[in-house]
Amino acid sequence: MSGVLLEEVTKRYGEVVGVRDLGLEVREGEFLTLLGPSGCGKTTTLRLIAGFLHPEQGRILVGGRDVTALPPQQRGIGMVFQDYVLFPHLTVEENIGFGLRERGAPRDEIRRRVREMLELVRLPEIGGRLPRELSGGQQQRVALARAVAYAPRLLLMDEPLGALDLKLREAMQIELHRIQRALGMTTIYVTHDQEEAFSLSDRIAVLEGGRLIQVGTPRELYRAPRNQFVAHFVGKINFLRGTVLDGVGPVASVKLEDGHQIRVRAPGPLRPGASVCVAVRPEALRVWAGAPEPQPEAVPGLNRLDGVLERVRYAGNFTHLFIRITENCTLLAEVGGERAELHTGEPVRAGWAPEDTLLWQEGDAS
Amino acid sequence: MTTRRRWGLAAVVVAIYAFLLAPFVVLALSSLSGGEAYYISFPPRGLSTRWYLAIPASYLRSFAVSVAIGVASALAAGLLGVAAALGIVRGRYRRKELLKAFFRAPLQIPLVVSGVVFLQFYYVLFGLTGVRLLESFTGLLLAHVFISLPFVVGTVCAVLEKFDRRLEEAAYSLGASRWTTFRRVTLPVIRPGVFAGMLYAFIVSFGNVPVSLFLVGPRLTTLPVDLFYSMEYDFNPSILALSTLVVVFSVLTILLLQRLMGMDVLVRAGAKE
Repeated sequence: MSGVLLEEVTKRYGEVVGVRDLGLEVREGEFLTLLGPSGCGKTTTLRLIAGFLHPEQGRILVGGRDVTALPPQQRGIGMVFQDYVLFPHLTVEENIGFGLRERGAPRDEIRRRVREMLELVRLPEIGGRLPRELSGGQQQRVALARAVAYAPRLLLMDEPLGALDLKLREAMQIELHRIQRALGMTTIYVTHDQEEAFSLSDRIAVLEGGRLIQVGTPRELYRAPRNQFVAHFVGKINFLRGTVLDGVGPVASVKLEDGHQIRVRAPGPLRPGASVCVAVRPEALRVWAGAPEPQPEAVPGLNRLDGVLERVRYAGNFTHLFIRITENCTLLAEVGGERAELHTGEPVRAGWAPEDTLLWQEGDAS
Repeated sequence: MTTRRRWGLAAVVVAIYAFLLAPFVVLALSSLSGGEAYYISFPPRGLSTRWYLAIPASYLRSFAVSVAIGVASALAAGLLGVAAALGIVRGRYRRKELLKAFFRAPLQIPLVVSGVVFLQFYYVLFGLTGVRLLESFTGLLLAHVFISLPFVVGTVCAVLEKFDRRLEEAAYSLGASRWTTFRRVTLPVIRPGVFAGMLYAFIVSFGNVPVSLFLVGPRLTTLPVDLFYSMEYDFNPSILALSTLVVVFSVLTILLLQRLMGMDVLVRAGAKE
C-alpha cells in the first residue's frame, strides 16, 4: 500500500494561495503527473507531499497513513530535483549510497545496492567520479539512482528533465519510463511540458491557479477536456464562440459569431440562446482547395467553413495550415504529409465532423 | 591586444608586485647583513646568517603563545562565526542588515580602543568577582576572538548565501536528520568559506599588537608585542632575522593549509584516471 491521498489541502504563502482545497488520489504503482503553467501550484503540491512544506488545512496520506505532521525524513520518499542537486563533495557512489547509509544499512549491502542502481541507470563505470565531472544527463540519472536506491515508497520528481536539451530530454523520458516500470514505484511527476506528461504518465492532474482542474488519462484529457483551459493546455485547439440555436438531442445547432451555423455533439440538453464555446482539434479538420470535389456538403452532416489559406508550415510528417475565416478568426488545421495543391492566398474550405467538436457553456465554472 | 598595451599591463603588474613585496625584501636582506652595526642596514653589507644565530631563545616562548592564541581564536571564531552566519542568513526576521552590521562592528572600532576597553573591562571584572583575566591566556583569547570574529562571519555569510538549500532537502528526503545533514552536507559544502574565515582569524590574531599590548605582561606575552618592545627599547638586527622567520612561517602555513583544504579534491581528481 503506497498510494497517496490528498484531502482538501490548502497552502498559502502569506496572502498568496499556493494550492486550495486540493483533493487528489494517486494509486499504488501509478505514474501521475502534475501538469500546469508556472504558478499553478504543482511544485507546491509536490513539496507538500515531500514534507518540505506543511499545509494549513487538509490531510496527506501515504499508504493509508496520515503523514501531514511528519517531517520529510519519515515519509519514505525519493526526490529528484530539476537541476539534480547532487552532493558536490561526494562521489557518485557516495551520493547514491547516502540514503542507505542514513538508514544504517550494512556496508556490503550499500555497495551491492549502489552497483545495482548504477546498472539500472546504465552508468556502471562512473561510481568514483564527482558530480561536477559528469554531464547534465548523467547527473540526472545519478540523482534518480540516489532517490530510488533505498527503495522509498514514493518517488517525487520536480521537472527533472527541465535543465536538459531537447534530444537528451526525449532519450531521458524513455529511460525514466523504463526505470519507473522496472521499479513499480508510485511516482508523482511535475512538469509544465504537456508532451512530456503524455509520454510518461498513467494519469495526469491539470492544475491552474492553485486548483485541481481535471484528473485523467492522457486520452481522457485530450478527448474530453473539462474546460477551455485544459483543452488549450493539452495539445493545440481552435476555439469558436457562438450561441445555441437548437439544444435538444445528441447533436446541437450552434450559430457562430460570424453567422455560420454548425452542428455539435452536445454533452447534454442546451438552452437555446445560451452562449457557448466550441472547439475543434487541428487534426480533426479536413481541408479542400477552392471548389472542392466532392462537395463537403455531400459528406452528410460535416461542418464547413470557408476561408483563405494564410500560411503553410511544413513540418515533414505533417503540415500546419492557417486558414483565415474572418477578420478575427483563424483556424489551424493539421494535415498529413505535403499538400502541394494548396497555395497561400487562395480560397480553401475546412470541414469537420460534429462528433469531433467540443462544447462548453460560457460562464460554466466546471 | 596590441603588444604595446600588453607591455603596459605587464609594467603595472610588476609595479604592484614590487609595491607588495618591497618591505619584505628590505626586511629579509637587512636581516642577512654581515656588519656589526646595531641598526637596519639596507642594502646589506655582505651576507651572513650571524643575526639568525643570535636570536634569543626567549622569543620561542612568546612565539608559542602567539601560535596557541592564534589557533585557539581561529577555532573559537570559527565555531561562533558559523553559528552567527547561520543565524544571520537563515533567520526569519526583518533588519538582517542590522545584525550583520553588529557582527561587523569590531572592525569599525580602532583596535587600540578595543584594547583599552578590554583592559578596563578586565579591571572591573577583577574588582567585582576576583576573576583575573589580565595577563591570562583566556583574557587574551577573548579579545582576539572579538577582533577576528567579523572575518569568519563575513566569509561564512558569503558562502551560505550562495548555498543551495535543496541540498539539505535532498538529504532530508533520504532520511538524514537535521544534524546529520549539517555535518555531512552543509558543512562540507561551505567548508572553503569557513576555512578561509578561520585563516583570516588566525592571521589577525597572530599579528595583532594594539589589542594584545594592553592585556599582556611579563608572565605572558605574544610575539608581536615582544618584537614591538624590543624594537623600541633594545634594538638589534636579530629582530629582523626573527621577523623574517615569522613571515616565512606565515607563508608556509598558508600554503600548507590551502594544500590541505584542497586535498580531497586533488585526491579524487587523481582517482578518476
